[in-house]
Amino acid sequence: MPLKPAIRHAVARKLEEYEGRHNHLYLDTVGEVTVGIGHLIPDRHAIVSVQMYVTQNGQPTTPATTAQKQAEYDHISKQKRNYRAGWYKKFCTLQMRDSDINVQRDHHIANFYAELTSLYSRVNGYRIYFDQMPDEVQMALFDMVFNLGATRLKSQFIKFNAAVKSQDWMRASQECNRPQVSTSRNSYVKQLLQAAHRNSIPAQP
Amino acid sequence: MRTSILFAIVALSSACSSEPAALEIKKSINMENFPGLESLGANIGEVKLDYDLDGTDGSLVHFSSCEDVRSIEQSSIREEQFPLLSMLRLNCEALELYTQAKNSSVTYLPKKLSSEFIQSLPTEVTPNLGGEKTHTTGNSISQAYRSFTAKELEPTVIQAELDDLTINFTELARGDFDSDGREDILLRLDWANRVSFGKGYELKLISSREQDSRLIKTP
Repeated sequence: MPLKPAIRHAVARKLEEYEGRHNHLYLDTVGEVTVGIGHLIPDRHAIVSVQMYVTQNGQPTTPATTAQKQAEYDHISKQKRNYRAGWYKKFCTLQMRDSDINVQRDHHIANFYAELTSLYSRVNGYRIYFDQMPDEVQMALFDMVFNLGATRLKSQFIKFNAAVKSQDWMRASQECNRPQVSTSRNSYVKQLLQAAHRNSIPAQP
Repeated sequence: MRTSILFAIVALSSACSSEPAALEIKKSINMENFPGLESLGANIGEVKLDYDLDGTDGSLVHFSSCEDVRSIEQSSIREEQFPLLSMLRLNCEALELYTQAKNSSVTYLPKKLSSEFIQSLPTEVTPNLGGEKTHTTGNSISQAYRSFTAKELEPTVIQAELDDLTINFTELARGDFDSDGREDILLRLDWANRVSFGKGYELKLISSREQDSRLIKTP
């Protein structure tokens, strides 16, 4: 079953909020070269498959060659770490197009969706499949997996997953806290799960 | 934001000398590991910064002092830069600890960070991502992580791969931070998850107090 368009749109918006959107190379927290919406380029060979363009008057024009892309990669990887993404723009000569950034982003979302549907399934003891969960829960789980990855979400958030297993969304909202994300991001996920709890209560006649 | 600083008493590794040196060991700081740090001073109020983050209103938010860092509302910085704001806060906390630190009279710590030293640290000296603990308290990183590789990124930065995490163990400063006469290390853990978008920073104080002991104390 494909991901509902409304959910895909919502999680794409959140991912962009969390990672930013940058059409040039920059360094992440550990000094790895990154581009677009938090797209990691693990080494100078991996940049070959990233669509980048030579710019003219600040606009992407002709496709960059492999040599140009690798030279840009090498140049950025030597810069100082731990600055905002925009700080690296002055060292860049190549850009990505918005449409290519969207393709990258949608590819990441599709991969995480595959991981979520695999993890939250009857095979793993869940009563319902990921796609059958309320929209708010699906969005909350996307937020968790964006940050933790499927392996850590499964192995470290044991109480949270027990609550998901029993479809106790209120308890899940109490077990979803991640110390490394902002208060507002934790609140967003908590509120999604609380909304799912409220919606699950049958209306009184 | 309350920062958790871990006080860990670490066992001596083979990288450490078996006999501690008894002399005055001057405290030291690696200023290059504090992005935007222009100058120190006698106290945290005299620290000068030159660092920018993007504001939610589209403008650049400039930080010229740790007071600027302390007073900024999290909501006024773009969400994507929350980790960098956390780093700034941790750096200021480390700078305050450093300005208050004393010289040490004895050390059980290696002169230089190494892969062996990082592996000997307790698992508490890894990022806390939430959920339930998966490691036994007191276990060393080498005991807890089957896959451990590390390389020296710079003389004061060891980059380690622990399962899905890349962690830059970054030495910020050395000195006697807890007034026991023994040398401690302030480490900042800059980390990123390779299989997700997770990333962040943590501050850890490594305190080696006794030979061949391994105790953990969290304040």
